[in-house]
Amino acid sequence: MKKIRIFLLFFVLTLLISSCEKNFDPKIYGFLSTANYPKTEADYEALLMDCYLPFLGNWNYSLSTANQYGFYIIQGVLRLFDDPSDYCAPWLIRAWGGSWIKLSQANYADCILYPRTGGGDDTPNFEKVKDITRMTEIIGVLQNATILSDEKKSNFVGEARLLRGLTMYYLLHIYGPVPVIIDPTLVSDENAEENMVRPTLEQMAGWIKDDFEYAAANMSNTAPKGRYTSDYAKFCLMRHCLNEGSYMTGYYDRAIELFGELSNSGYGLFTKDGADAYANQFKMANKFNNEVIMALSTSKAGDGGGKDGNFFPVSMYVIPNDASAYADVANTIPTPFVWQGSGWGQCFNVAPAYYDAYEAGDTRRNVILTSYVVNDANRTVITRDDIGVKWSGFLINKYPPEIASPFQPTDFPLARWADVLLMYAEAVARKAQAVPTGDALQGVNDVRARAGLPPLSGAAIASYDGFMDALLIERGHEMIYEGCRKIDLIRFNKYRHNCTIIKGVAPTNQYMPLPDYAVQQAASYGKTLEQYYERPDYASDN
Amino acid sequence: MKKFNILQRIALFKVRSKKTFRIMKLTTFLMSVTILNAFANNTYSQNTLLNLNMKDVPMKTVFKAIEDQSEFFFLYSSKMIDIDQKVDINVTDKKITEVLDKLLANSDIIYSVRNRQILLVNKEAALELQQKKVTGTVTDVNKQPVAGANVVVKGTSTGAITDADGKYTIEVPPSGNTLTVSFIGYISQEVQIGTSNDISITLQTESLSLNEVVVVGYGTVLKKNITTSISKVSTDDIPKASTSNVAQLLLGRASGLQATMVSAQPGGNINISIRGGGTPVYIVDGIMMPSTSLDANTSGFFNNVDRGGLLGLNPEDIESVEVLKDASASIYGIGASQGVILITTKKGKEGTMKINYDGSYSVVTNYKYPAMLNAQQYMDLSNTFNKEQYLYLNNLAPYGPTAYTSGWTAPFDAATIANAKTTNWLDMVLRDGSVSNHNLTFNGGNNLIKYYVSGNYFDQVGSVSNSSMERYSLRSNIVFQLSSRIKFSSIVNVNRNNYNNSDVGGGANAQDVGALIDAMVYPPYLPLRDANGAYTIFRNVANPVSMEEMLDRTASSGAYLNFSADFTIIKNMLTANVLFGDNLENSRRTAYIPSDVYFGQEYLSRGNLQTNRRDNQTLEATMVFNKKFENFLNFDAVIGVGKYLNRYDGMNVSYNGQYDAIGNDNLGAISGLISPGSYVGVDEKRSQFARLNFDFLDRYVIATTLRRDGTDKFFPGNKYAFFPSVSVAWKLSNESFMKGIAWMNLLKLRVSYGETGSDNLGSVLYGTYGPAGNYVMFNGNTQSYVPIIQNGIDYPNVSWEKTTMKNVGMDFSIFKDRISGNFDVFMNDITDMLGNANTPGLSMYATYPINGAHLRRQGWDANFNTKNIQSSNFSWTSVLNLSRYNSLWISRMPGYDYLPYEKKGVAPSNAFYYYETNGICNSDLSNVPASQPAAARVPGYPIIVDKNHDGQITVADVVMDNEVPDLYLGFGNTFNYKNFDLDIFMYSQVGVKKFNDAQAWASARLFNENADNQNHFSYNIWNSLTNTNGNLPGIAYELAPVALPGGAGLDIGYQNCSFVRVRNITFGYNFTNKTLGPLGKYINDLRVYLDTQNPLTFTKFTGFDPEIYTETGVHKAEFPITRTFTFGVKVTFK
Repeated sequence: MKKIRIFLLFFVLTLLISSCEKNFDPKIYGFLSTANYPKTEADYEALLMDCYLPFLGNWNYSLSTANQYGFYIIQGVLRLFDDPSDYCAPWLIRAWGGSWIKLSQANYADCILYPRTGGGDDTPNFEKVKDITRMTEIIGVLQNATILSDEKKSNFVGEARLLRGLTMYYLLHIYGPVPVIIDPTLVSDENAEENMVRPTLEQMAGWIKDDFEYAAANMSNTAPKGRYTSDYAKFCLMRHCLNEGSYMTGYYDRAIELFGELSNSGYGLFTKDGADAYANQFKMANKFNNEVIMALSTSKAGDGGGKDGNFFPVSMYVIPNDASAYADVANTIPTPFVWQGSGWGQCFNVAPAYYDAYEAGDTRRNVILTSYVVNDANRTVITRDDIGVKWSGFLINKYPPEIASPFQPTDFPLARWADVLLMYAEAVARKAQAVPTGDALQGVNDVRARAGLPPLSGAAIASYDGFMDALLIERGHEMIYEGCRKIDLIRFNKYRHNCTIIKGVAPTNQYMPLPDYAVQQAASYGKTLEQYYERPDYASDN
Repeated sequence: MKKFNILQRIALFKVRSKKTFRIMKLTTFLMSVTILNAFANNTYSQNTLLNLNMKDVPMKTVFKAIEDQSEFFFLYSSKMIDIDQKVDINVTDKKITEVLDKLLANSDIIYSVRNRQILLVNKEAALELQQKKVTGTVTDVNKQPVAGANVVVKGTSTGAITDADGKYTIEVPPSGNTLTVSFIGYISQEVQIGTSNDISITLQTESLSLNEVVVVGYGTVLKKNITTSISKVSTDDIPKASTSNVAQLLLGRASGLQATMVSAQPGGNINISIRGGGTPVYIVDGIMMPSTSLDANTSGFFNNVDRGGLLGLNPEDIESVEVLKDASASIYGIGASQGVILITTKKGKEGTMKINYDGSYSVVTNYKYPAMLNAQQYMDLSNTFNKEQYLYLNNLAPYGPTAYTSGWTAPFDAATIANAKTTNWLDMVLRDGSVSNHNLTFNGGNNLIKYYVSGNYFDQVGSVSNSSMERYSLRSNIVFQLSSRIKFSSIVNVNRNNYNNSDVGGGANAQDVGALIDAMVYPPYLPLRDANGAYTIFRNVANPVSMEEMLDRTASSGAYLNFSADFTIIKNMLTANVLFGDNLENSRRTAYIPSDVYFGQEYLSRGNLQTNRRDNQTLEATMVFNKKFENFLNFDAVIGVGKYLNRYDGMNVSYNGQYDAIGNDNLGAISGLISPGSYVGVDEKRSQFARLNFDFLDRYVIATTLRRDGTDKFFPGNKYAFFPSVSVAWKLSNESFMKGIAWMNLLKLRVSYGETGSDNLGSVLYGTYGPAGNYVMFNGNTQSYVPIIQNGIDYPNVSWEKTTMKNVGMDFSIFKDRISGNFDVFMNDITDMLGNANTPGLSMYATYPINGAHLRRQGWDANFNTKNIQSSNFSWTSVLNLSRYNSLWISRMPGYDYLPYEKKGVAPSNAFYYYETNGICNSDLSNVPASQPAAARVPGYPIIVDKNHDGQITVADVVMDNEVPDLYLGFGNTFNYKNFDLDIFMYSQVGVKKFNDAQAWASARLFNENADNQNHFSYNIWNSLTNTNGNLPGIAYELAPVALPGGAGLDIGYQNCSFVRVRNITFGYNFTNKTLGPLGKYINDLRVYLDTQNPLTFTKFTGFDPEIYTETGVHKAEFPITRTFTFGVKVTFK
C-alpha cells in the first residue's frame, strides 16, 4: 500500500516537474535558423536566387505573397503588354470570360476590384511591391556580407539590383509609378512600409536607372544561359533610357552610349536559313544564337511545376482546342501543329487589320497563320471567312510546337540584337528630333533586310514623324508577342490611337488602375495612393 | 376445499368483542394475519391463569366463559370454524395456551394469541395464509446478471437485494401478489407473483433515464447531476451496417452538433461542428485523437480524397459518444475551443463468455445525377447558341438594329444530328456498389479479468468506378483487477485500411480532372473507342473510361494503444490513475498513370509515391477523491497532470518516365524527372488540471474546473495559460416546495461559464529560412539553384486564443419520465483570435501572425425524448434534436480588406453578398427598368433589382445573406411490437441557400462547336431564337461581362437548399432462444433486420445535392449520394 502511494507521489511529481518551461521550445524541422544563416558564399547565392522568382517560367511563385504570376509566363508580359495592345483582336469566341475578355479589349475598369489574394486570373501584380522590399532586404544582406570577396559581392549586388530594377520597371509599365522601398535600412521600418504613396515618375525612373547602371557596371558577362548578365543589364538600361528619355536629362545620350558598349560583345542578326531566318531564330535548334542577348532558357523537362525548371506554355494559349495535327483524314499531311496535347483556347491572336498592314514580302508575317485545320471527321479548314464566327483573330505561331508535348521547350526572347538596332535608331532620332542617318538608320534597314524588305523609303525617311511612325510599325512586326508592345505604344504616345484603329476599341485607361484594397489600405495609414495614373502627354494620344 | 378470494375472506370474518365491535378493514385484517407468526409481546397471556370446568357445551360457550373470566377476546369467522361443536373442558390455573391446546386438540381449529387477542382459523386456511418464499434471478437484456437490484413486494416494506449473480430470495407475505424490481439505469418492472416460487426478471435499460451515467472529462456523472450542456449519443441504436466512420453516425443525432456530409465517397468526410465551431477534438477512451484523415492528395493528380478521421475505429466498438458543448469542454483546455467529442468504447462485462456475430450485406445505389444531354440535344443546342453568338458578335437583332438575313452556317447539319449516336458517359463511370460488414465479438469476465475482443471486416465497393474501401480491425479491451486496490486496463486497436481512390475530383474545364467530371464534359456523340480501337480523345479532356486504367491506392494502418492503471488508495474515497496512450498511423499512397493513358494533355507515364506517419501520445496521471457527508454534501474532486506529444513525418516522390510494368514498385528504373519531398514535425503540450464537484442536499450542484496548459508553440512567458470553468445546477424538483407537483419528475436549471484555448496557428512564430517552392534553373534547366527564403521573423508576443463559453440550460422530465429533454442557450466568444493579419503595404511579408479578431457564436439547442405509447406489447418512442446557431464578427483582424458593400462592425461571419435579379432582359428591352446599368441593358442579361428604389444600381442595392441554416434538426421514431421493431430517423437543415453548381454548368458561352457537354439546365438559358422565357442569362452576359459596383455577384442559381433526409429506416425481428427451436440450444438471441440508409431526400434544391459541400463557382462533380439497402443479422451465441 505504502509503496503504491510512494510510487504515485513520485510519478505525479515527475510529471509536475516536466510540466514547466524546461526543454519546451518548439521543434522546428526542415528550416534554417535566422541565427546561423547565411554563412557561406553558397548561402548568399541561394538568397540572391530569391530575386529570380518573378522571372521564372513556372505556373506561379510565392516569395513575399502566395501565388503570384511570374513576368514571363502567359499571365505576365504577354497578357499585360501584348494582349491589350493594338495587334490582338478582342478575344470573344471560345473565350474563358471574365478578365481575359476584358484585357483583350484593353478594358481596365474592373482592375480596381482585383483581390489581394493571388492565384486567379485577376491576381494583382501590385503585390510585387513586397517583392521589391524583399529584394532590397537581400541587397542589404549581400552588401553586409563579410565573407564575400569584393568582386563577388558587387557581382551579387549587381545581379540583385538588376532583378529589382526589372521588377520596378515592369510595375511602372503596368501601373505607372508605385511606392517601393529601395533603401535596405528602411526595410521593417513601419513608417516606410506604410508609406503607400506613388513617387513621381522622375523618382521612379531614376531608381530604376540606378539599379540598371549598377548592374551593368558590376555584373559579369560569363554566366550560364538564362542567368542575367551585364549585357542584359545594359539592354534593359537602354530600353529604359529610351522610354523615359523625353523628360530625363541625358537618357538618350546614355542609350546611344549603351549601343556602343553592347556592340563590343559581338551580337548580330540571325540570318541563317534565308527567308526563314526570322521565324527560325525562335526554334529549338537556334537557342541562344548570336542575336540573343538574353532569353528565358527552357527545356522539355519544364512542365510548369516549381521544381521542374522553366517552361513556356504559349502553345496552349495560342492554338485552338480543335486544331488538328494533320490536314487530311488519313493523317499523312502534317499541319504546323505537332500534336501537343491539344491547345486550350486562342487567348492571343492577331487582328486581321494588323496582319493586312504588313508590307508585301515581309517574311515576318509568316509566323501568323490565317487558317487552320479542325480535328473533326472532315478536317474542316477555318479561314479568314470564319473570323467573328469561329475565331476572333489569326493564329500567332511565333513559338511553334516542335515536339509532341504540351510543354514546348521554346526559349522566350528577352533581349535581341534586332531590338537593340531599332532602339539605337530611335534614340538617335529622338535625341536629334530628326531622321537618323548612318549606322542608326542602317540598323533599321538591316532588320528590314532580314525580313526580306527593302530599306526604308518615302515618308519613312522624309520626316522625323514619318520615321517614328515607320519605326513603331517596324517594332511591332519585329517584336510581335515579345512582351513589349504596349510599352512601345505608350512611348510613342500611340496607345489609344493604334488600339482604336486596329483593335477596334479604345483602351479605358493608359495604365491599369491600382486595386481598391491597396487604396483603402493606404488611406488607413492616412496616405493617399492615387488609384489611376497616366502620363502627362496621354491626353494628346488620340 | 373451496378457495376464497381475499375479499370473500374479509367478508367471512365476523369480528366480535365484548368491549368494542370493530369493522375490520383490509389493513387491520392484514395486521391480524401477521399475528400468526408474531408472538412478540405476550406478557398478558403468559401471566393470566384460567379456571374452567364445563361439559358437553358448544365451543362458543367456552369462548364466552374465557372472555368473561379475562380480558381475552376471540376473533374468528363462524363460517370458517365450527363453534357449535360440543366440547368438555376441565382446567385449573392454566395459561390460555394450555387451555386452548386442550380445548382444540380434537378439532381442525388452530389458534394464535397475541396479547389479549385470540385468533381462530381452521387448519387449511391457516396454511394458505402463511408466507411464501420466492427466489429468482434478475438479468439485463444481454442476460447479464444485475447485482444490487432492489426487489420489493409491492405495497409492503418487504424487500431484497440481488447478489453478484443477480439472485434474490424474498419471503412474500400472503397478501403480496406483485414484485417490483428496480435498479439504476433500468426501467422498473412489476411482476405478478402467481403460484410460481421462481421468478426471473429481465430488466430493460432505461436509455432515457435521468439516472443514466454520462461520461464527462476525467470521470462520469449521473445525468440528473450534470451542470453543463452535454449531448449523449448512444450509438447502439444507430444502424451501422454501411457506415465506415464514427462521424457518419452522428448526422442529426445530437442537439447542438452540426454534422454535414462533405463527401459521399467510401469513408467520406463528415464536417462535424459543435455549435458552429470548427473541427472539435476527439477523445477516445481518454486519448486525444487526430480528427482528420492522414491521407493527402497527390501532386500531379486531381484532388479526389476527402475522407474523415478515425477510420481505424470500427463504429460497432463504440459504446457511446458524448458531445461537450460548453464549459464542460474546459477541462480539456488546449484545443477544446471547438468543443470536445468523447468516444467511449465497449468494455467487457462480468459473466460467462458471450460471442456475438453481427453481419450485414448492403447494396449501394446512386442518387440520380442531373441528366446530361444526349447527342441530338447537344447538337441542337449547339446550333442554337452558335447562331445566337453570331447574332451578338455581328450586332444583328436583337443585339443590333439589323435583322439577320444570311451568313451563318450551323455547326451540325441535319444529317449529322439524325445519325448521331449517344454514348452515356455517366453510366460508364457510375455503378452500383456494395458493403459487406462482419463483426465478431467476445465478451465476458469475472472478478479478476474482464475482456471485450472484437474483429471487424468491412468491404465497400464504391458507386463510382475505381473506388473502394476495405478495413480489417481488431480491438481488445481487457481489465485486470489485480487486487481490490489495483486495476490495470489495456485497450488495443489495430487496423488496416485499403482504399482504391476514385476518379472523382478536381475542378471542371481543366485537363487533369477526374473521370466523373470528364464524363459530364465529354460530348455524347463521341464513341468510347475510335476505328482503331483506341480510346477517343476530346480536346484536352481525358477519356473518362480510359482513366480506369490509372492506379491510385492508399493503404493505411493504425495502432491504438491505451494502458491505464487504477490504484485505490482509500476505498470509496481516493483513487489514482495513470494513463498512457499512443495512436500510431501510417498511410502509403501509390498513384500511377500509365504511358498509354492520355491525361493532363499528354501520354506520359507519371507516378507518385507518398507515405505519411503520425503518432499522438497522451500521458496523464490523475487522482480522484470522492466523499459523501451524510445527506448534506457529496464532494468529488479530480486533479491531474498530462503531457501530450504529436509527431508526424512523411515523404513523397513524384516522377515521370517509367516502365509501366514497374511503376511505383521500383523507382530505380525511372528515366525521367524525379521530384522528392519530405517533412517532419513535433508538437508538445503540457497540462495540469483539477475539477471539484459539490452536490449539496441533492439540490445544488456546483462543478468547477481549472486547467493550466502549456504549448511549445509560444515564446517563454507566453507558453502557459489558465482555463477555468464553473457551472451550477439547481435541481428545483427536489425542493420541498416542488414536491407536491407529482407530474414533475425533474426540473433542473443550469448555468455554466468556461474558458478554453487554442494554439493552433499553423505556422511557426520563430524566424526561419526555408527552401522556396520554385527552383531557379539556367542553361536549359541543367543548372539548378534552390532559393532560400526568409519565412518570417520572431513574433514573441503572439499567445493564446481564448474561447469563453457561456451557457444557460434546463433539464426536465415530466409525467413519469414520459417526456424529458433539455434546452440550452449559449454564447461563445472567441477573443484574441489567432490568425494572420495583412502587413503594411510595403512589407516583405504578406501577413504576420497576431492575436486579433473577436468572433461570437450564439444560439440554442434542444432535445426532447418522449415515450408516446408504452404497453406490454407495443411501444413508441420519439427523439427530437434541434439546434440553431449564428456566428458574428464582433471585430475583425486588423488591416482586414473590406469590400465596398461589406458590413462593418458586427456582421455575420458566413455572410454572402450579391445583387438580386428578377428575370432576364427581353429582346426588345421592354421589361428593363430604368435602374438597369447601361452596360447591362442587353437582351439576355439578368435584370438587377434596385432594392432601395433610388433609380440606380449602387452598392446600396447589394443584399446580404447569412449562410447559416436557420435550424438543424434530427427526428427519430422507434416502434416495438412484440418482437418486431421499426426505427425511422431523419435529419434536416432548414433555411439556408447555396449555389446550384449543376446549373452553373449550363453556360451559353460554352455551347459552341467542340464544346463541353452540358446538362438539362441548358434548356433554361435565355436565347432570342428558341427560349425567350429562359431564366438563365444569355450569351451577352458571358461575352460582355459587366462588373457591378463593388464587384458583387448575382443570385443566379442561388437556391434554397433546405432538405429533410430520411437517414435510416430499420425494420427488425428478434428471436429469443425459446422461439428458435432446436437452434435455441446454441443461440441466445437472434436479430434479423432490413435497413435502408438515405432512402429519401426531400428538397426543392435542384442541384447535385442540398447537403454535400460544393465550392462556389467551381464546377465540381461530387461523389454522388448513395442509397443503401441492407440485410443484417445479429447473433448472440450461448
